[in-house]
Amino acid sequence: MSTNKRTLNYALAINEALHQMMEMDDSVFLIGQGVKSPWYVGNTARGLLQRFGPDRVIDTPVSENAVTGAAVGAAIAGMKAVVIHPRMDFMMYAMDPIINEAANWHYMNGGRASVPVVFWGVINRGGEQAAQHSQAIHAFFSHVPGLKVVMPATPSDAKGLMIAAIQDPDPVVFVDDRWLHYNEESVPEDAYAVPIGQGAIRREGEDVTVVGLSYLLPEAMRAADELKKEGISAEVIDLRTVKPLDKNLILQSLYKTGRLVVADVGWKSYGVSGEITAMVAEEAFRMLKAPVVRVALPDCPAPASQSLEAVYYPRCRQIIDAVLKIV
Amino acid sequence: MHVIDPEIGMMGSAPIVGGTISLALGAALASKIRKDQRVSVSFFGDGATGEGVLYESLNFASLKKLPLLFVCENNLYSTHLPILECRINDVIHEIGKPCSIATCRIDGNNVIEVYETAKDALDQCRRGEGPVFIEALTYRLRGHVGPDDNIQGTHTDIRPAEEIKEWTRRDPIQQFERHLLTSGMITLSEIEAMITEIDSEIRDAYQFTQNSEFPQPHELKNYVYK
Repeated sequence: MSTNKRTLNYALAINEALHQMMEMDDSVFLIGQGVKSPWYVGNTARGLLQRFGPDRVIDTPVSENAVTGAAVGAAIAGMKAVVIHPRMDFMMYAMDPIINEAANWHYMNGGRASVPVVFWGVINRGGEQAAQHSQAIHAFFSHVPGLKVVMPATPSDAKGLMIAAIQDPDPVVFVDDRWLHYNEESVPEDAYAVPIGQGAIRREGEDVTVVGLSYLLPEAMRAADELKKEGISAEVIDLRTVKPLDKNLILQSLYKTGRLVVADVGWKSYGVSGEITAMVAEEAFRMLKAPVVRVALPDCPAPASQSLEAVYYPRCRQIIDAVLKIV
Repeated sequence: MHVIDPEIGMMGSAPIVGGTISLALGAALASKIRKDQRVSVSFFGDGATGEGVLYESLNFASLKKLPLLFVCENNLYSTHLPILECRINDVIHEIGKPCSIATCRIDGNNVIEVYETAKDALDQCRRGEGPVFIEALTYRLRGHVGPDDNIQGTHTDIRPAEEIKEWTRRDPIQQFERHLLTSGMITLSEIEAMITEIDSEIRDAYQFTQNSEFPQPHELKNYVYK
């Protein structure tokens, strides 16, 4: 990797991944609503249309089902398709091609055809956008065999996981969050892949394991800073990939700390936090020195009012409180 | 279900009624990006006209002038339900017109008419003139599931016996055979030789399945991922 200390924000890190993959491989193309418009996709598509032309950077009508199906069909026909949903709520219209077709295709055809497609959904929460413009539905996709689901929390991972998703022979759901788009850090310039299915220890600690996902990873890091002032040493895991789950990383950390807090950006019931908790109960019950505590969205649609948004979305404070319950 | 042979361009089939229409849209999009002169053909039934993805696909295919041939095999029933209990009218091809797509309705049981119409349509797609929509009128001579189920008198079919009889007289293979014989393009013994050959191919295929092992339990999760 390059030793250059050049920094990029999260959105531009995704943008660089797309530039590099489209340059390296003629079969890569981007399709979806708003790829011509920063209003839709932020800076993630900057310069792509000018560089690669309208045949490979395709803005579309509001036809999520057909357009997503077209990405799947093109992938079956040998292309590497990236289809963007600038608000992942609209992926609900595309569940049929994502789940019935893409996720099942390789299995039901006995391995005769694979589907190298990236379903890219952006969570656009906050700003009083309310119930139909704020949803984080990564758990829906994680339920389905045949799909992989990645949710990078850092700019470097945003680039590396987008590259890995494009290179992967199977359908990958790539979920980013607008709240992360302006986070900036040093990002290597070469075209590198972050392996799908591997989490990362972001901070080592002894007393409690905090698993953070997407925008809650930076919040978990801040929580760990605060807890340190109170003499509590938290180990922070960045999940990075939701499916397949990096069980070993979580279990190894738990072996050390014996205490677990899971911070998920989706709803609490039937979601990622429940899955991780169940996995730990099945595989590491005796390691637990205290009950698992979950930090997640309440089982309630996203509210419109900012006064309610303030209590709806967990932050650093809720993670600290969760740790203090069990340490 | 799950019929596929990518080597000959048969890219797959699936039982989610309208689900493969947008996949063909994507294959056509791939051809346009690669400029490889291939045409995609999407086969679906009249039942699929009840699903929204068809209309999204018609618009997008026409908008981008994709090399895509829509073939609706209208057999007048959506599994068990007569077409006029599903649709406000039984003329399907006209749904292409609001999207400025060239459309036509043909006798789907007339092999030569199907061949000539399809050939013209494929040429049009290859010339970059955009998609074509063919509605081929036909009928299901057997059951919706399996050879006998849904057939009048045996199980649950609600189709009138007289209607089934009428369409049986219009069997496309028998019609074509009569045409070949009366025009002197083939002899009876040549037809018999073909039938013998086809029967033997089917028998071999059947025998192959009978001689093949069922999958082993440890193979359950093969192919979930590549």
